[in-house]
Amino acid sequence: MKKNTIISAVLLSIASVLVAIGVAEISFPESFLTFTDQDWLNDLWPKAYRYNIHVGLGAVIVACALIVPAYRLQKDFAIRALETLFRVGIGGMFIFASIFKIQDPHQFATLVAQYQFFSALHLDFINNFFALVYPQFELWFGLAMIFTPWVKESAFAIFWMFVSFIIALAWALWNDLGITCGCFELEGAQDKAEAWTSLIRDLILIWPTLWLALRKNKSLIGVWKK
Amino acid sequence: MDMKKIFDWTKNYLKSLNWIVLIGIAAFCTALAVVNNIRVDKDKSVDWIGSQDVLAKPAEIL
Repeated sequence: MKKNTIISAVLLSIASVLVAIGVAEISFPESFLTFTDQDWLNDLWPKAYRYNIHVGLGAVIVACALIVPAYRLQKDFAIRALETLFRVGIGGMFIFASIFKIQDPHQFATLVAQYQFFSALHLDFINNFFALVYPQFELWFGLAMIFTPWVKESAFAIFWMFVSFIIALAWALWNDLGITCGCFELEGAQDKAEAWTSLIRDLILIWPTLWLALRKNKSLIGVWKK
Repeated sequence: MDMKKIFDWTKNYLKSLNWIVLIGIAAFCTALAVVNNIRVDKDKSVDWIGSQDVLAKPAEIL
């Protein structure tokens, strides 16, 4: 029993690292977790940097494959560990993403306006208020997911935020708007690839959020109590 | 799974949510958003109602 728990823990740890690497390769190039932009790799294989999305998706697929034996070895432990990892990971990501948007509402409002989503619906007037309120939703529902027992409610809210991000990014790509995602920084228009990678990232992360929205309400400590 | 079962499942799920917590956090966020807009420097704050300019699309998007 103990041996199974240890093996399950090791498999889940490897899966967590692979998911982190996968999301970094897809969405956060040139960060400390990425490989395909490393000089030593590009010296060996000059086109390595072009395959960041493939490497990222591959890492996520391998991580998902590792979860299966971890779950079969020790179901109870695997479920608790996955809930903990997802809550901290997704909650933490939303908290981190909200900070710059709260610090500079004007720039975030400008970025939201570039999507031209509200103008298409003749709702331009709510652009600024949306840009003020949405980052607060990200911050406080992210905090609620980690630090409160209300995982169902916070995951429900975050799920719908993911739906809105996916709609906005798909809209931007469909209309060839050529804008930056604005998810984690507020730089000017970037290449279209960023919108695609952000869309892929959100399409991956919405699924564990949906799973969390179906869990019973418990604090993170309560998850580990017998 | 037929439509009625999906509808019933969805209705039961929505009933199981704690709406006081959801609406409470949403209201708290709205209040903090108002405070934040007052708190930040003038050049970083926005008008309560309105939008921003749509910038010209760069000539070359990769």
